[in-house]
Amino acid sequence: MHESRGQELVASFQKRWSAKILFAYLLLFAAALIMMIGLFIRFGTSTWPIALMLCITAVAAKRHRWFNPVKQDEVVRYLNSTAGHLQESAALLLKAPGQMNPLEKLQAQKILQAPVTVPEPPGLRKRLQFGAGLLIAAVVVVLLMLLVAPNQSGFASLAPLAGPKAETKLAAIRLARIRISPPAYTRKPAREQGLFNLIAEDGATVSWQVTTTLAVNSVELIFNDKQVLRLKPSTKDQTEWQSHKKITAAGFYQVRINNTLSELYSIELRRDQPPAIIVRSPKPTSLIEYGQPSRALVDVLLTDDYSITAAAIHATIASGSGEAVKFKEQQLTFLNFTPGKARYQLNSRIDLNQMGMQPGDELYFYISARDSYEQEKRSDIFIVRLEDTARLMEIEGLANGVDLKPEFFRSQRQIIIETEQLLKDRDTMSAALFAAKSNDLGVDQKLLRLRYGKFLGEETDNEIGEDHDHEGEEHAEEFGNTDKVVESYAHKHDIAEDATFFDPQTKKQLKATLGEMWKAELQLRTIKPRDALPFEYRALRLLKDLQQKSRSYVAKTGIKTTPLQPGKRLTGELADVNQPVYRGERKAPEDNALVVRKALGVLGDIRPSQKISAENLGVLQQAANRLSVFAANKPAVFLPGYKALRNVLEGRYQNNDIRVAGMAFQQMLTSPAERPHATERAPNMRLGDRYLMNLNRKHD
Amino acid sequence: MTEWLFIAVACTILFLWLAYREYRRTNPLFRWGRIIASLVACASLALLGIPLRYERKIVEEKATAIVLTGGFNRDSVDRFIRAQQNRPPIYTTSDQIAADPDMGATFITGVQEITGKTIHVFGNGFSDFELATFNNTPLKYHPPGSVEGMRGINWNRQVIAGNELLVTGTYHNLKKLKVNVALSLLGRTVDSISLDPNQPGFTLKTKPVFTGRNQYQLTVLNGKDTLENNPVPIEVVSPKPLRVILLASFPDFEHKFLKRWLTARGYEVVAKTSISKNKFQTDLVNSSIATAFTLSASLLSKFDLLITDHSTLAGLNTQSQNLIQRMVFSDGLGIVVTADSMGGRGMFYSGIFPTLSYPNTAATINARINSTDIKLPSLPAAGHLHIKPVAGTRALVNDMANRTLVNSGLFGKGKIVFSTLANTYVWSLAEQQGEYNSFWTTIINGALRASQAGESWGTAPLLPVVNEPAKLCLRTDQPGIPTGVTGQQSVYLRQDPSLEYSWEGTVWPRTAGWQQIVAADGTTRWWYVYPEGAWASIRAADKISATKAYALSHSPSALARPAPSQETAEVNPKYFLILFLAACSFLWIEKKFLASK
Repeated sequence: MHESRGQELVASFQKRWSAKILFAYLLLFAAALIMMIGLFIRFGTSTWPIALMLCITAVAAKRHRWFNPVKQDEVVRYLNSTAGHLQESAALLLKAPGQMNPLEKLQAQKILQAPVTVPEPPGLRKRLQFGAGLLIAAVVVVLLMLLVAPNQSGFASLAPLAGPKAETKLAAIRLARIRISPPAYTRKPAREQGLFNLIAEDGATVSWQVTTTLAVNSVELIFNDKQVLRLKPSTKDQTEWQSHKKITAAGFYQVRINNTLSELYSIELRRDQPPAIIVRSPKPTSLIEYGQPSRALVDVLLTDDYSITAAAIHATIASGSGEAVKFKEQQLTFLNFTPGKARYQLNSRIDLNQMGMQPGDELYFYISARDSYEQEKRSDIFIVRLEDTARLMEIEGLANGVDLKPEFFRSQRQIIIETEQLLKDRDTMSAALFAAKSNDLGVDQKLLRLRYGKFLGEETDNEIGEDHDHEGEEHAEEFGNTDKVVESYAHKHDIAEDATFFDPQTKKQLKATLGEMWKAELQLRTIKPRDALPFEYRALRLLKDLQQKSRSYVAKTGIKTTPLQPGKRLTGELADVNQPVYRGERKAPEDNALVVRKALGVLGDIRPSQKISAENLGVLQQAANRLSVFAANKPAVFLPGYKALRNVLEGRYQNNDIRVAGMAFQQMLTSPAERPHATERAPNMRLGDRYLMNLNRKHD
Repeated sequence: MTEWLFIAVACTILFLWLAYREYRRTNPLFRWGRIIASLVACASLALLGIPLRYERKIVEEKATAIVLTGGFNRDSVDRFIRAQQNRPPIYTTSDQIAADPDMGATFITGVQEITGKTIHVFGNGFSDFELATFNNTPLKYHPPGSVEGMRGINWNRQVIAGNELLVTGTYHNLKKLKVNVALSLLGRTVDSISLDPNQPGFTLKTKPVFTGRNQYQLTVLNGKDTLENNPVPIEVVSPKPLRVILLASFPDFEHKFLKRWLTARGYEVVAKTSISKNKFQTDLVNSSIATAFTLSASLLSKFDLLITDHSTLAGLNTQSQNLIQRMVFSDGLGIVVTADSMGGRGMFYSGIFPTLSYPNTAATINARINSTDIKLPSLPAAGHLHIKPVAGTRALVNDMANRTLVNSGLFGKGKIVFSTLANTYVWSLAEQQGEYNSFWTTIINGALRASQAGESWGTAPLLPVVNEPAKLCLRTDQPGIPTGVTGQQSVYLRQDPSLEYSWEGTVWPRTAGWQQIVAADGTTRWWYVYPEGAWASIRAADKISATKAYALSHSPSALARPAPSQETAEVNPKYFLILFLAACSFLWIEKKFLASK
């Protein structure tokens, strides 16, 4: 009986503590989850981080035994160490009654007589507190993130499709219904509005339906002060009028009923934008080196305002050199492209071998996209080159010019040739021999590297395995020379003199060369000659570049020309030579904006209470003609100014009209170019002359 | 009286008893201190009840009167009235203050109307014009504290098209607010600055896009509150076309491009280029002078500018060289000389423009225009020269290492610009027309002779306001008695007795805005009358300083004061209360903290 009670006791402790640990874990998990969800809502990233976190949680739950973290023997050990009255016998609580000897039974009975009270393990509370703290912190951070965030989605912050502004209709109009039908390719539904100010897609058909309060004789729309569209009555009582028009240009219009004109209404045009192409990879020019996979990965983002109907890669392969260059054009398609969407993320892999490219050939390609409005856009041209290793091995370029380091170049080339030979002969030789030869090549590579190191002032040890021996001989005459003494004990690795031999640029490249040689040597020494080849080639290419750079142009010195004899010069007979005279008129070009500049000046002079003079009125009228052109092209910007200016011209205006018209004028104008000008001197009655005269008298 | 006696006796008994207790105290520490503290406490307790009086001399003031002007501080006026025995009468010269029933001020036209009283003026005071009408009436001025707001302002009232309008000023920011100053034209802000409260100065600039007259607005904002909004009227005028003479010893691109650039601006250009021995090519654009001209004083005096190079000048005969030198010195002809490879030796200007050769290390010349800080495209430096700056010269173009490439100096009445840049046409070729334009504009501006104005008009004060008198000042070299006509009014001018060319007259502008002046010679000038309330803080400061100066020279005479008389004064009992509390505190603290140790 009490045996099972003992087990129950242990089990209850185990259960209670396990539950608390599990709860602490769940708190941590909840904190992380809230954080993730917050990030997701705030930044709208994809859901994979949440999925990833769930996976990590699952793994962690398995590894850390979230669901059964406390074992029975752990409980027993803890009971023994904390509850003194159990007398280190808690293990007996677990034993089945049959397995106990009498002494154990006695002990078990004894310890179970008193109630078992133990303090909670100290780690538990801390875990819970830590978990709860993290959860609160996560909640606070997420709340802050969402409160501070300007918008929940990235798009809402863009200005919404600007709705038509407040407008006044003619009193005779009871109702106006304006229907804008965008062209079919946009796949946008037709929409209706009650206001006359329009925002229409390019090519949209707009139909006006005007209901008047009384029967009227005519209803007309006047576009840009020129074109007139007469509305037709659709009912006999002449109160309903309608007509339609295809909109292809921005501008403004007025409604005329009988002879009453309305204010100006704007027509804003949404032009179809050509597709946008963003190429994420490859880089504008890329070189595929020996040993790299010969393919180009193309990653493109295409966007358009409505939809894209076609996209392709136009590739041109240029092969050969000199006069024997051949071009081959090819058009590649994107496999995952289906027309009709507004946004695409496309990938393509161009296999250069499959396209028949040889080393030294170049691939030029651009990406084109066409939208539903048949507008085509092309990307920049991208170039992919396959490295020509054969060209690198040519000795021609080296033999011609100033050959500074021929010995070393040949060695690097030799190493490449031998490495390739070794790879070819691999099947015919024993593994041991192959390894030995590869190692030998590695040694050669090292020697070459050390020789180059000398140019950089690095430590030189030509003989492998030789230790530094810095023991100098004693010279009687050098006795007492402290420099000598110091030198003999110092361990000098670099030669300071050599370090200044080259300019920093050359040195940097030399260092890079040494780096490549070092890597090649590593591969050779570890018997991987195939892996060493790319490094060897790269080292050779860098060296070749270096050699090309060291060529410099030296101008000829000491040019000797025949000395001039001034007496003999210009002694020819010139009596019959005419002296050319050019007489002409040239006016400064008219400043096109001058009338607008003047009008802006006039605006500073007029006041609503005063009558505008005829001269000023003329200037304003001319400026209004120019402003109307601007207003027709960009009604959103200039139409309010044009309206205000017309109010001014008609003589019924407020100060605000002057301000709005002035704003429009200022937007039309740029600062005039600077011109030379004399400063104006005050008429000061020869005072300066007297000063000058007297000053000069002092000098005499 | 018996009451005082009773208090004195009671306090003495109290003290004696306390002193006895202290004397008998077992703890000897602070015994005498406690006795003294008890004495002080008892004495001050007694004096709280017994008033302590003393005699003092006072000066009997003459009867006072208060004159209020705009911007007065209500509190300081009230304080002044309270300090007076009798409530003084209040006057004002402002109809607005007179209309305020709270102040109860009587309207007067000037302080000379108040007689037999010492006049105390509060507020911003009076303008110079008003002060002049006061018949030297003495007054005392109580200026208000520092006036918050715009304190100094200046701008170029006439701007040549294409040049900048510069508005500089200081803003007194007493409340240390975060203040923005913005310059705008018809609601469109063209420049603005955020002012640091400790750095009151500011400069705003813009290139006006209009021609004619308009007014910018200088707005002072604190957040969305407009603190001040003042007009900045300017007149934009087109530059006059120039007359330029070009001399070259051989045809080259530099002169060809320069000729094209000058004629494209509609200038009169006369160019003479030597093409062979004694053979010249002559170009006359927009000019009416004879084809076969020779350099003469009458010819050169027609031109604003002579552009040439050093070798051409050195190749002229001595007579021509002397002529040019004389024309520059005494007639103010501007000349622009380009150095040749040998520098500019042997001419009259050589002394002020010594040349040095460019260091071999420099591959290119990267020049910039000093006045505008525009960077010029680089030119090859090989064989180039630079100029050693000499006192009295002004460098126009320097390179990045601050070597002078173009220098200018005065020679008599004329100006000479000496340039070492001889291949500027390459900028024009490279479509860097903007830099070419800036370069030559700077150089020509540096050499041009100032045009002599026939007359110049000004106003006093600088910011004349509607319905306040303004003086129109004229300087003219024309003989005879000038008259101005502004609007419908004629302005009759008075000649300055000592300066014969200076004339002035007073006008009372009735409307704000641009006013026309038609001078006697028929030319039209414009001046601006500010609306009421414009530049209020600046005008207030002007009034304060004018009134201060007036009050200093017209103070009510000290001799007029009557003999001082005696007055009984009472010591304020609050001092005894403080003393009493201090003594008691000592006693308590001593017992609580010090005695126990």
